[in-house]
Amino acid sequence: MASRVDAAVICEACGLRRSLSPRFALEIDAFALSPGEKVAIVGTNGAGKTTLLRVLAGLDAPTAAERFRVPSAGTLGFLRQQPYLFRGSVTRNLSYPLGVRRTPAAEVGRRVTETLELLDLIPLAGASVDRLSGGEQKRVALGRVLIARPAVLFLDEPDAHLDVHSLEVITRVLETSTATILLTTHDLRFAHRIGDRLVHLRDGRVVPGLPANVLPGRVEGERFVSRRGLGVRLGDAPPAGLAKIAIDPHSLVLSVEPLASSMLNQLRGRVTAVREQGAGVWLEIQCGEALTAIVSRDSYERLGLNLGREVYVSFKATAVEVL
Amino acid sequence: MGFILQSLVDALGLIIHGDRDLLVAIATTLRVSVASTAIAAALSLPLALLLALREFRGKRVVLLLLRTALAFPTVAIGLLVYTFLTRNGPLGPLHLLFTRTAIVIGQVLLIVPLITALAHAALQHRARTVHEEATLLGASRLAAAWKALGEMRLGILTALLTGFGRVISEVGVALILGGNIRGLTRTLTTAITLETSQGDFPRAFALAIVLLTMVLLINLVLLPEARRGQSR
Repeated sequence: MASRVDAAVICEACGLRRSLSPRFALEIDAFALSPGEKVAIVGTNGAGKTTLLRVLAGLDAPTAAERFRVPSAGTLGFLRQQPYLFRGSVTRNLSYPLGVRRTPAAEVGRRVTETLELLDLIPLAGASVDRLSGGEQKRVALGRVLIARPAVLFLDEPDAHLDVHSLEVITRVLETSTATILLTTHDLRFAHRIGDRLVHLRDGRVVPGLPANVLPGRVEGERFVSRRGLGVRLGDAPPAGLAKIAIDPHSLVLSVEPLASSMLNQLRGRVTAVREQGAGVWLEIQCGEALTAIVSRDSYERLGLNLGREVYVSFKATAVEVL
Repeated sequence: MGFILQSLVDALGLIIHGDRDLLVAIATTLRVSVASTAIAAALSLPLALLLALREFRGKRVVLLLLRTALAFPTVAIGLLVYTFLTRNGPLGPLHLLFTRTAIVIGQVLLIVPLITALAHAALQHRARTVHEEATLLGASRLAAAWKALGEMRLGILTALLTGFGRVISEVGVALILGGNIRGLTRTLTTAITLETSQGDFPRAFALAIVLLTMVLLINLVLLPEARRGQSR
């Protein structure tokens, strides 16, 4: 979580609160988006990702805020989670933002062609948007945002419900974009590919750490070796070379004795941090790399997983996701 | 059956022979109905957009009043406007009573609630989404509102056609405020009333058939165009 709050930011929020119901409120202590950054807000459904994005975009007003700034007028392109495409063809949709800006016709034609190519929509240029698949519609919606060349992009789950090709196209476009990007997603792989910084949102609050153990390193056959030399068995054999892996903290099984099980990965480590969070307890285990495991309060007390306790961390090879 | 057939033959005869009274009544009917609908649309659509796009105190009361106004009797509106336009009324010096303008004023009051309520019903589910999407894409608020109307054009056109159907077929306002003056304020409906009171039922029925045919043709021309591309 960044706590930078200064003049050279695209948007910022300090002490921000937005109440949506008696049971849910977004509460952000400090957040800032700097020019050129690509930030991914990750979290499960209902964590408050869309609410935060809309408030930071200025679409919804905060209930209270100590300090609050939205992107400058005319600089923001916003992709809604469920974009509404206007009646008519793909080209007509792409032209709309240029039409309202009274862009000369020749320039409109040039930019539409450029955008159609960028998002692999050339064969669909004249098609009615009603006949497009969900992934194609998302590409049109993104193209419609990009065609005005905004300096800042706010994207609400741009990867949701996409076919493989559309996901590839959108990922490539965002990876190569020079715009400042703030996006929401619940897919960590996508978040890591696009974002240089990840913000974890949970129950309307930014929480430290990420909901995954992401380790950079190298794939060697069916093994992954982290930069610090931790070896992990993989479920399948991806192409060798540099890669990142993610291990869901919920899939880590902790024990105080070595386990006799079918799990291919078993590491010995020591508890270096303990944090209560919601109904669970987050533990940092140092085992060559710092891994985060989430256990129930009951398990935590039963196993006596106090600071400094030596533990065994076991997990299946299939729990390791190559990003 | 014979009566209806005879009326149909009479209606065709009136049209084929170019009955002057009929043609003038048709022209008068169209002039006042189109003018009333156009003016009412100019007042109703912004109001419907406001109701669909904004939350404000008293919005429910406004909607309740609108729905109540749908049941306002045409004769009552005619009488209300009459009291304003009559020689001793506040607008008496304008000498508008028994003119086509008077009919238009009454008919506008008649259909503003109708068009507003129907347009609001058409807009309320998606207008905010379209408006927000268009605004996010750089449109001004006005351009975004126009876009919302365009996206919901089938519902909007249905509202306008319903308003048009209401004024073209109403008789209370036209009779009280127009006075059924031959060649000036006589519309198809007031002509029907006159023929009925004189006992010429086939001719009255023939005029009704002409009126219905006009509305049918207008719907046939406009609705398919609006429906095109609005399957979502």
